[in-house]
Amino acid sequence: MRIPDKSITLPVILVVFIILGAVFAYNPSPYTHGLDYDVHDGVVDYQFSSTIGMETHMVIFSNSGLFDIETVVFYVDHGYASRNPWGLQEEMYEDMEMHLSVRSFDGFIYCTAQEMSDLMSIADPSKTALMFASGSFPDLIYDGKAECPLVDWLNRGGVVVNISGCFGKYVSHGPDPSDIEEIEDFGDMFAEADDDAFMDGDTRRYADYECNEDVRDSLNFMMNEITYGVDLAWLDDRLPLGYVDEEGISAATLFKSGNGMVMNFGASLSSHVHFDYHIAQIIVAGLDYTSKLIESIDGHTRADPSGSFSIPDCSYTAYGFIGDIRPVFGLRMS
Amino acid sequence: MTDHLCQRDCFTDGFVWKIAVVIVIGIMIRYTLGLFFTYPTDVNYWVIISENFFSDEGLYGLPGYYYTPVWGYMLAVLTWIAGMIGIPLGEYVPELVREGILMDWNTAMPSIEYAMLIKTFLFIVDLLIAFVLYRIGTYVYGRRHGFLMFTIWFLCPFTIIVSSIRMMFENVEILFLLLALLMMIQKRPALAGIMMGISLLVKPYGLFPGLLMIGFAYAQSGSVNYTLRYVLMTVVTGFLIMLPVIVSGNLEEAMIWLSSRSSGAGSGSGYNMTLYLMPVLVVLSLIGALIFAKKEIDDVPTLIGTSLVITSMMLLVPGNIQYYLLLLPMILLIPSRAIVPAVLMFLILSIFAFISYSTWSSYLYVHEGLWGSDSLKTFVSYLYPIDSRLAYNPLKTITAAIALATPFIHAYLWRVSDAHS
Repeated sequence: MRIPDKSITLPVILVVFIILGAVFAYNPSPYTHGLDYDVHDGVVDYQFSSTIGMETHMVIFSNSGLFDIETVVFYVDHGYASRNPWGLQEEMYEDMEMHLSVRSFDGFIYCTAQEMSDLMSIADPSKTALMFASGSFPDLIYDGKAECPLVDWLNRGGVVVNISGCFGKYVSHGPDPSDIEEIEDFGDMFAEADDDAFMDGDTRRYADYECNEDVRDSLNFMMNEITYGVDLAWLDDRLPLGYVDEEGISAATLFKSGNGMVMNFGASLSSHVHFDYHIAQIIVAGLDYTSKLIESIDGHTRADPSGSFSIPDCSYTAYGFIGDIRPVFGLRMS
Repeated sequence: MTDHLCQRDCFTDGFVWKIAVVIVIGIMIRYTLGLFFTYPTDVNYWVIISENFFSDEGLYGLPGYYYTPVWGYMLAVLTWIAGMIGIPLGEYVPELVREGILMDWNTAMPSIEYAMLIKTFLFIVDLLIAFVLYRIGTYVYGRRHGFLMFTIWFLCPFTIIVSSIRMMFENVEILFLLLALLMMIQKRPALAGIMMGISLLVKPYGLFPGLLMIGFAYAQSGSVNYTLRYVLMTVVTGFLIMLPVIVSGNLEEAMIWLSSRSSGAGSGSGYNMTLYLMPVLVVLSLIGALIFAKKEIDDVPTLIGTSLVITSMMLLVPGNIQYYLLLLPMILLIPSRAIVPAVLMFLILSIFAFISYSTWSSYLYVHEGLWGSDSLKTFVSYLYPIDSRLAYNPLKTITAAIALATPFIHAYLWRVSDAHS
């Protein structure tokens, strides 16, 4: 007995299905999104557009008006030893680039220690964020003393993004791991805090006690690893973004340092795929350590794509994005 | 003509209605369970992958997809459907935050609409497998056995849990593997090769039957050309599927899942492809293929029995629970009472699979809004101590061991009955 030829129908349909999927997967731009807005008479009208149906979110936060990040500088320098593997850092930066691009942010550059040092002398500190995921700073930028480019940068109102490292504790003098020096009294230098305020975890720790629900719910920001978190008790001007444990250790924190701001994210770098996009979200959203949620407006690209909000009578940031867990589009409007 | 007569008979003897009843019952159970429960690990990554597609970053652009691409291509189509309908994809569920749990791995959840879209696809695959099993069973053993295989597969709680709660695509791999077998039985080696190539790039656990089928193809035809058609189409299909991945420079990302499972450095639950075990089983399969070719063994039960033995050996080392689904169709394709212990074992495993998903560390999520109170959550949380007391991994090993023994039990029973007759 021979099974009739119609038996090949199913294999053929399945192969066509897979080919169709490959076309969708590799088609350069099957989906497009946008956000148009118009400011007039103290009101901002906005309209999301998209080729797909998806949730939209418009969030308005107050801020100090002191920072307006336009450029993110990724620090990579194999000439200096690092506490986190360079390969992992570069992988994280590559992902970060994409997450920032998705949010319409294209101002990022890679710098060695020397290039960063040169840049720090000419860049506008309030518009430039220096990003470190190395766990240790190169001695060209920070040597553990108050008179160094990094402290000067912060005193001039600059922004530093610190990921997966104890902020200020380690200085790298050269390419060998033994070239990394442990600094004392660094907490006082950056935040008038005890060194113990900055976690330097040997083991990974996660908080589940409480969190900043405004940030969590409006920006879908979920971060709870406190391995390299900071103790909020030591910081006066700070905004905890993610979860905080019972002892007050915060997973993600924006805090004032000098006249500038440190964005500290306390998760381990090996988990970076779980938090890269959260960091991109915070950078693009324009939050600082004074930020408070003014308004959060949800909608849908099809059912409810447009809206408006009154311009607050304080300095503010308005950020619109499409999607939930990992937004598919974002744009900061002010 | 014969086919038309058969179809008419099927209607007149109520056979079609029996099949219809099984389908309706199976679908109802799936949707009922699937609407309420989703196991929130891995599946939240289907959401993230869909979001990556919507971000125009493709399958491997942004992190999230770590498998070889076939399942991703299927998700691309499903994502397009989700986008066109405009359903929400998923969200964070703060209630799932637990001490010691990393964000987004365990705390992001697909929306019920998105979950049901993916699950519906998996239910269809379940059903297609049932039909393919029915076809193979009918062809090799007769319609009664074909119907039995159809029914056991489609109503087995284990099959249902994997697609409706675990929401994993193990059944996609099985569908292509069975289609490869069906095509081979129909003496279509090229199509069998295409199906096998796809199956191996969904997940590679069909490798051993795939290798054995080389010997089977030769035994079936006595022709090297015929056999080469199967082998070449497997390789060419695999290459064509991987080509865009290679060209776009994402080969490393596409191999992450596979390498984590073969190095034993994965999540701690996928050691069954460890480097020391795999070469042994591959060599065993190749020896099996040689024996098939040399002794001209071209009967399906022997092919299935040998595949089952070697695949079960791999799963003696406990792996993720959904991997065990692959054993079930192989067991069902053995035509005797010998399968009873193994099928019973799968029923027991189903209970523990459900309980396992309710533990605090692998939290079974009850979809909000469909269940008004926390009573169900409370109920499943009570089950956790049962799970922790009765070790879960030994149960998986026992299942694999019984599956491994099944072909031997079958051979023994066959000899006994042969002696009596």
